[in-house]
Amino acid sequence: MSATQPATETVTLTVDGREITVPKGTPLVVAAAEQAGVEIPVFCYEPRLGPPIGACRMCLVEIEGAPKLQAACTLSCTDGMVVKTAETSEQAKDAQDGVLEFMLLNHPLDCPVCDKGGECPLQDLTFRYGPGNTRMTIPKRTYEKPLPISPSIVLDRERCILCYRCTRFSGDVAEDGELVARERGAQSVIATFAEQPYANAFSGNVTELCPVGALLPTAYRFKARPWEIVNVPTVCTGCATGCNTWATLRENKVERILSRNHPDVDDGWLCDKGRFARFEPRDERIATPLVREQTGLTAAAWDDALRTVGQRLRHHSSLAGPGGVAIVTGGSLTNEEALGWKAISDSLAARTASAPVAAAADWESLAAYAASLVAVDDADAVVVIGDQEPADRAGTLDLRIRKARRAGAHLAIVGPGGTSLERDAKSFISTLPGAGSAVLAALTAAVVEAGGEHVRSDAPTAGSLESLATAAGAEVGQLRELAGALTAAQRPVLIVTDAVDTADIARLAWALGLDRRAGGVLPLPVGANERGERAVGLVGGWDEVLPALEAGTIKAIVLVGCDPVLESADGERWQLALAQTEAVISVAAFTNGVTSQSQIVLPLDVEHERDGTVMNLEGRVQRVRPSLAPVSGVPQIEWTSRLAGFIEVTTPASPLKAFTALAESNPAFAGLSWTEAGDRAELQRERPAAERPAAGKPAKPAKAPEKGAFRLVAPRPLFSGAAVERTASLAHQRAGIVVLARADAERLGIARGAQVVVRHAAGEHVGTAQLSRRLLPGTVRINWRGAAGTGSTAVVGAQ
Amino acid sequence: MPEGPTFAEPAATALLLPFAGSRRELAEYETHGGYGSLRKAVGMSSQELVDEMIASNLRGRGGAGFPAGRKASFLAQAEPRYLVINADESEPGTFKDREIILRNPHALIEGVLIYLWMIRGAAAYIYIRGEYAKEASILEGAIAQARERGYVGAPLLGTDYVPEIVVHRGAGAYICGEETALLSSLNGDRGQPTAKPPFPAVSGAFKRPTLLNNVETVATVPTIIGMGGAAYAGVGTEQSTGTKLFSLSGHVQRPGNYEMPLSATYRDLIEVVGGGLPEGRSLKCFVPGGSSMPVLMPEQLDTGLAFEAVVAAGSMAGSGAVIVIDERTCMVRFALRTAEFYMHESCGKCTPCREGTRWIVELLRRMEAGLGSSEEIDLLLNICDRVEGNCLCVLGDACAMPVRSHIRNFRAEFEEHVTLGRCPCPDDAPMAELYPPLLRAPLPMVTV
Repeated sequence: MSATQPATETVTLTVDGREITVPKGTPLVVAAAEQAGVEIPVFCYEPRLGPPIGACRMCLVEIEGAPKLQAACTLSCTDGMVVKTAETSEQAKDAQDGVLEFMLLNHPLDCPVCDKGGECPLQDLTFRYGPGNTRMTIPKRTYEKPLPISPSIVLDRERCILCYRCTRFSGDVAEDGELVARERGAQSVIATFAEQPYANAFSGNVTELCPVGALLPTAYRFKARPWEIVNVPTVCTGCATGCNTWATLRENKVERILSRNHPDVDDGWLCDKGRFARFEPRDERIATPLVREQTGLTAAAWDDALRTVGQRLRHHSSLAGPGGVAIVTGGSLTNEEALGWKAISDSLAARTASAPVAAAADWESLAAYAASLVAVDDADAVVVIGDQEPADRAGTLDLRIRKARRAGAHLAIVGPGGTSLERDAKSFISTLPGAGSAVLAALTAAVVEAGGEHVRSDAPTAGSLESLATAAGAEVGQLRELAGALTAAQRPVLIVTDAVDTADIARLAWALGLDRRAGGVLPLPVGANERGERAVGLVGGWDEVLPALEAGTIKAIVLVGCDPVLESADGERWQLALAQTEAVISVAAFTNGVTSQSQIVLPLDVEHERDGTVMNLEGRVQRVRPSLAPVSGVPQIEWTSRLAGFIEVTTPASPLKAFTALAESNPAFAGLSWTEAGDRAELQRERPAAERPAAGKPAKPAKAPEKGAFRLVAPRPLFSGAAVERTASLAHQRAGIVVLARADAERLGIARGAQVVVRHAAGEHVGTAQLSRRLLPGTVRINWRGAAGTGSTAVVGAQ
Repeated sequence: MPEGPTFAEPAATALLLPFAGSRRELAEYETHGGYGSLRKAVGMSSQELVDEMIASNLRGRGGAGFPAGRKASFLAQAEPRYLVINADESEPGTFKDREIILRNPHALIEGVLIYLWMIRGAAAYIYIRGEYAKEASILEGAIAQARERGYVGAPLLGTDYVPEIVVHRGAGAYICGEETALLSSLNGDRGQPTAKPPFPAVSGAFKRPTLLNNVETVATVPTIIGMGGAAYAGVGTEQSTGTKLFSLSGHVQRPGNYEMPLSATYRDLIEVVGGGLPEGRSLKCFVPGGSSMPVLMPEQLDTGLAFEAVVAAGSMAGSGAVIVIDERTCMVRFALRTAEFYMHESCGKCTPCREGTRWIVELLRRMEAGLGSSEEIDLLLNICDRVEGNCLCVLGDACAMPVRSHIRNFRAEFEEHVTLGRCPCPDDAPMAELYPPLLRAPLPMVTV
């Protein structure tokens, strides 16, 4: 919005005798602190939670002309305002002492045993402003404690000062309404709605919002004191959002993850996967190279293993010629690690593949229309197209979309339904599952038909709106309406959650003229560093490798940090193809479906063990820093370099050298600085000029299933992956869910909450039934741990 | 009996309530000219109606006494707009709105319709306290009659405007009488006050511009439109015009609701209309406008009932609940009982009220049990100071003001408790006649 608004009006006011000039409407607490250098203490104020509520009353100030003290948090600066804070006003000072005394009345003051002690706003403000003694002669309130409100979070009601930050997060940011205040007056307590566990995917944020030790992560209780920890600034690699984090390190263990607020990336929020999931226990990790002997995988010396790998790859490469070897990755490498593999694959003339679907990963083709994450904040229309929830691919993006909607953006959800963002969306367009490509084609036709200021009528359309709408399973009228809203919007953002051909997206973006408007297209990669790996040169998709593997033209395959057996919709085919491939080498953190088929397994470095950079879904290059030594003792970038030596290529053995090489030679990294990537990295973005995309036919949704069977919608959920599956406190987030259309549930006699079993190609899923009013009848949505393929057939039955 | 300034025959000044009996039936109400003001109002423009209200100088009857006409003129113009009637009458000692609903519900409905027409409101919501079950059903019945008669839910008297009235019952929270808390509750949120701005006139019911008025204020409007604003302003004092209902209770011979011209005095109300204290008792003090207001002393009996007169005497007219207290009453116990009410009703949102009311109650309990000290009396005063004016809404003030007033006026009695180590008053000191016992049990603790 900032771009379209005229120069900001300013106002001049006086704070404690100091005259300051700030933009009109600046909250007084902020203005005082930033401009006048006066700290106004406050507990409940947190702009990310919405409008201020003036509940804690810590920020009372004297305003000239006002009959009584005012809460500075709810006041906006106005011209000529004369403010006296507790620094200069006796009255305000007395009120502040009073409020702090009131807060501490029932607070147990158990700082010595409280995990928040030492990093606690209440403790800090008490030392800075408090009266230093108590006049209380009555017993303190006591409650049962600690109270688990979920497997990840415990609540101590005695410490709670009822600032309502947590309930506001739950109600107004995550919009789940699960965390509530109960009772009233002095008996008010924080509780979960109807005694259900607080299961929201972003629940952990309340532990950071809490200004006292009332809401604490269970895993961190009694684990560390602030003076014995080191907070390492890094970036979460749980998905491609790239949320900035602090890793709290104590005695060689990452005990806690905190947000390192990068407003343009994460807004200071983390999802529970990023916060709580750990690649632990470390003693279950693959810690040494393993070579398959007759007795199974056996530990081997590094040089022996690497030499064998090098020999085999060279052997198969020279024997089978170009494409005889495949290096398959999945976005789990750093850019610097990827550079080593790129050199190796070049020297072997190997195939590479970093994305599950090649055509869906051609991010460069969308560069002219690229939107940043923060563009969602400013959007006046946000359209989400696809089967998946945005949160499945990019956790905290969900919160940003909700924020945009609350700010007035037109939120449209286009898909088969049964997702959580639909509830408050302004429009919902029902489509067949797996119809993302057809929807885009139909919308392109509708946009061209609608015309308008930004619209390019020469956009290639794949047929009539009617026929395309039929293919997508969408109503023509609804598509026309959405096209109208999109053409009228000034700053629309298009989010496509499924693996559709980027050319389909480009055609719609071209038609909408998104390159000429604020907003744009926000692609959602599958792997955390899929964009980075691709930018380094590991192009290609698993879907291209698989047929070659099946045909036997690929003789040797290296699977680095990926498990297509689980993570691809063609898992079964992968399994069979790998079984018949001569040389299978994998790099993995834990044993999995791929390591069991490998002759050689090398240890994978995971988050907190790597130094380097990753590229997030916007294309922002950010630095990840290590807190721990790799479990194998040898950083991956180092042994990759040694492996390269056996193949007779040279690759940088240190992250900084590799980064420097990238910055010097790769246009995608040109001009980037190692230092700047390490601290609230900027998005280096220049939109190239858009080119008219070529015409193309949209992919067809899967055929209708047999009578009685369901269409399956099973995108890989946010809470999946090796780390999530090993984190006990996230077990509840993985609990099986089966979403059914109301009509189907009624027909099958399945009630809400019933246990339902869904049989599909990749396995059997048991979950609790949820009924959806909007899910397309004949469709079932599950949170399967892998990628079970969308639109394929499933059979549903009561367990 | 001293001469009252302008207080004449009660029947002559009954503008709002029938002097005797009830007019619950619509036909009966119409026989007495009911809905005539509505007919007159429909012939007037919104601005003319607002002007008439301003001319009447009617001050809001909910407690704050804000001029009703000016309030109406602040309403934001954006559509849709709503009218909300505050019938969440909960201040201890206050039962005047109930009387209107019981005896003259159509005056309220007619007032609502005039207001709705004036602001072309999308609908009116009457937020009535949950405990008023009978009153709610009477109101529903009266609205049904008005609906049947074509006043509600149909084009209004030949215009194309269709008024709608909804009765919404509260769930038993005193705080929902506070306007922003009432609106939160009406909107389906937790009944807690919110910071202003935004003011209800801009963002109220369903986040739309909302005009919020007390039952009595709205029920007075038909009278004003009927007799004309200027004529109405001729009754009462210059700054406090018209008549107002007073809920008289406590140690008085004839407790009840009385409609008084605002030019009358407390002596008129307590001694003339109320018949004075029972034989052999003497006045210790009286609450002039609801339990949250500082008490006035016997020598202040000639204070006028007008808003400005009570302020000059050091208290506030509030909702018009007058509680008469005789010499046998233990003021510590009275303070405690009052504070207990506010502690019980504190919503828990802001710190000083949530924690302060409990601390005040606990200290008063100690004092009443003879456990306190002289220093604790000063502490109590200091806590009252630190609560009052520092809260999000005025509930904290409502607890602090009477407690401080009791200590200031009867400090010796508090000291006596402390020195004796017990309450000096007889066990049968007449608390029950002031408020029914509600909170005898110790503080309930929530353990989940």
